Amino acid sequence: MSKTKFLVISGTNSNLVVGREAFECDSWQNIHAALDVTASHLGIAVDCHQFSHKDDIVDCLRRAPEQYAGVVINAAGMTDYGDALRNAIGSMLLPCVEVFDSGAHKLEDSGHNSVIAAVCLGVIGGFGQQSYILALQALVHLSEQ
Amino acid sequence: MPAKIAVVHGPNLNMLGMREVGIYGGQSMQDINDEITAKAKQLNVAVEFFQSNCEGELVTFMQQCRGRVDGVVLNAGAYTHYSIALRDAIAAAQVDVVEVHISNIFKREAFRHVSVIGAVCIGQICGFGSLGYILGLKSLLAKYAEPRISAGETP
Repeated sequence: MSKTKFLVISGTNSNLVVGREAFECDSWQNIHAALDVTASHLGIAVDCHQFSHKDDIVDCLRRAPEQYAGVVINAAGMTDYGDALRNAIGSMLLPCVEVFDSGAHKLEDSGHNSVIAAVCLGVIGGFGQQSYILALQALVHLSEQ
Repeated sequence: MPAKIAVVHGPNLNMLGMREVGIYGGQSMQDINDEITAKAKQLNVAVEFFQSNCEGELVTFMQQCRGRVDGVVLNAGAYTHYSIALRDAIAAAQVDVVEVHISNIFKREAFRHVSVIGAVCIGQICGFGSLGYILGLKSLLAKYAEPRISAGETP
């Protein structure tokens, strides 16, 4: 029997995360490696992608229901204005969890200004790499219920 | 010594299971606490629970967490969105606090999208029902244990 598969997407600039002072977080390569370990422990499969172009993310999300049971997404720089992303997530009928590494919830006035949060099942942020791991664990847990 | 975590429920969470079940689910606060207690036992962590509808009591409890517990999982309810006093108490407590919400606050009214406590919390988890508290507990334990979170189990 093939394993249940989940999709993980890291968005714009998350490929440049190392050295960005405001973010106490791992590189997406480290995060994806940690997710591979988590997936193998959980007995599921995970495909991790990093995209720098919104259209690539939208294309990937459009195809997601054919293969995956859920999606973890850190839209990073596209979180604030990605209406196309929001529509893609909102129309795909798969549980999607938004993650952010750190920072977004700490912005005093604006809060977490994500346009995709409202179409996601939930949001997990502030824990660096652990945000992704918790999101994957949550999706697997919910898919087993 | 096991880590000691306080789970704090704010206003109206004592009414869980009886109010707006379409949003907050059918579980009572006690059901959720029982779930957390069972998970805490598995994870070898000591948990204590506190609920209050009063802002001042939550402020006092947060202050008393200072130097006494290793972390707090906090569902501040509606105080999340406007209690500067609670925010200041969290900052004063100098303890890791995770902000948890049962519902996805970003799907709801605009006034719920802003958290005044977020800036002094280590992270935010919302939209997962009672599971959010367990995820919050695990995120705190990640700070104490290596590997940071046990990869091999669902919450």
